[in-house]
Amino acid sequence: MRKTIKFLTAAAFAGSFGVVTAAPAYTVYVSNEKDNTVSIIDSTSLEVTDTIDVGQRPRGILLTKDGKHLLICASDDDTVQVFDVKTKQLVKELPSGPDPELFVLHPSGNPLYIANEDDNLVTVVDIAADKVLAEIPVGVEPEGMGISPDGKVLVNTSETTNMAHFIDTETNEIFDNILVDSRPRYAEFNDAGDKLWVTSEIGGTVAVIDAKTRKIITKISFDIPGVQPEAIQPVGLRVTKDGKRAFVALGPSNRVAVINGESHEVEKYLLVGQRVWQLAFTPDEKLLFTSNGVSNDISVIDVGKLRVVKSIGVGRFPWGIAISNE
Amino acid sequence: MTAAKRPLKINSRGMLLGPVTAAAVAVTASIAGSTAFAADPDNPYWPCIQRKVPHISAGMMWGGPLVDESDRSWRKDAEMANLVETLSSRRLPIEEAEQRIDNYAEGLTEDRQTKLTLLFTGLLSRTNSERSEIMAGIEKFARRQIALSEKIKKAAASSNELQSKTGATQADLNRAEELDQQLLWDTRVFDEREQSLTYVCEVPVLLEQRLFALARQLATHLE
Repeated sequence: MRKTIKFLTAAAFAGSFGVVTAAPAYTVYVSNEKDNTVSIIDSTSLEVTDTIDVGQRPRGILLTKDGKHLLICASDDDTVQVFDVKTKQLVKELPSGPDPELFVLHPSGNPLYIANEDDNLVTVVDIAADKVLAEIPVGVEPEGMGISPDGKVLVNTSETTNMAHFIDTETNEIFDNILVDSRPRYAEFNDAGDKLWVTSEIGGTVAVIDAKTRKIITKISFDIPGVQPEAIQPVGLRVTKDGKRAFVALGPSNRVAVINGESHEVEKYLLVGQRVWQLAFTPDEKLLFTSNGVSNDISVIDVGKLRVVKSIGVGRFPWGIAISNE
Repeated sequence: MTAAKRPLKINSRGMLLGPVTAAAVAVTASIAGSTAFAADPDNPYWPCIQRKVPHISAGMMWGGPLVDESDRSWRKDAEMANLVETLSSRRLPIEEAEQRIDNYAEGLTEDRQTKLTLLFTGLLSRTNSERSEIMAGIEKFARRQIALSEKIKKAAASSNELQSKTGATQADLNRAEELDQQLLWDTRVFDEREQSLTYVCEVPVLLEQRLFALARQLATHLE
């Protein structure tokens, strides 16, 4: 009886928010920076199903291409932890360099590129052989990491130098630098590989860069009625596969901006949770999850309707989000 | 303790150090790493790691109808004014506060949208006022810490001088002993205040969290 009620409630909830009940159930992983845990959420029920203990100050989080392992930057342990997603057990730790914060996998699934904030380096790690392949000196306080869909160009942003560094992944050397606005936080290529989006937290802007000429096409700024400009701090960013829309987490303004991927105009601001930090789509792009560091929750956005449909309480200071492919 | 009984230490330069000098070194190191010294040049007396946000604006918390923050008419509605006070009190668990919002909203028969927006305006005003007082207190606290650190540094320098004086008299050593004791006390007070600062700095954030949760609950009754 209890199960039936639970099922009916879930079905009613899903129906009321337009979430298709037959939608695939993805698993959502959220790193909780202050709790040293990862919350696991079911994308259909939108409930936390488990919480696992991980290393200290977990921030960047991603899944390997085969979906079998979860990689976590345990920043205060100076390591990248590898968890088996089935057993939820720690399998191994990768050499990461000090204070790993964000990382990105090569599209082929290996190697892993890690930003080391304290050492002004990007560390390149072979995740199969557990060894460091290269250390690339970059600007001061490297943070954002993006890789082109063909895997040939790695982009790292440095917070203090205010630059996007373009790195050739064959030579592991910087071949160009682009000056962007103050404290660049995040870099992402669109799926076509012709545009690079870079957020600047203090500058309050998003730079859209032509990936071939490496010239800035436009800088997008934000204006939210009733919100003071200094609270608008772009951090996480995601672009839809078709490139038609970009979503930007605007930090302490508690909003996510929806941007037209072609005109680069802001279409809408969605009120989510407090200090919205990172974003992740489900693979079908029907839902977008946002981590909200101060309200200690995850907001779920219905991408089609551009509406916030649920808030899910997780641990303290949720930071990064990774979502399974199936 | 007399000067003759003092244990001696040797520093990295090979100089002999008495406990006064050793304490001074420790104090200077402690103060240098102190949070009392602001990182933000625009707010020199703001000691918290959290960035100083002097005012919470409506748009950060509220997705509902536009809010006129200068509107004080919520104070004229006794029920609403009482509710603002009750909901703002951190003694009331947030779950209970949310339940009270539900009860209030469900009891509204007319002007629901207007009244709920006005209630939010009251909560915003009340929270901003409390936050301002707390933040002023934090800055006053930081000023006192800075003043204490200056006192500690001066005392450490004086004791150092007395100790390194050629032909120091017993009176000099007695004075150094007094400075030593004072330094230990002042350092202890300084350190204890530093520890409490971590908690104090969390308070403005806790108020923001509470206001956001209340606003979110109010918003569920707007549609």
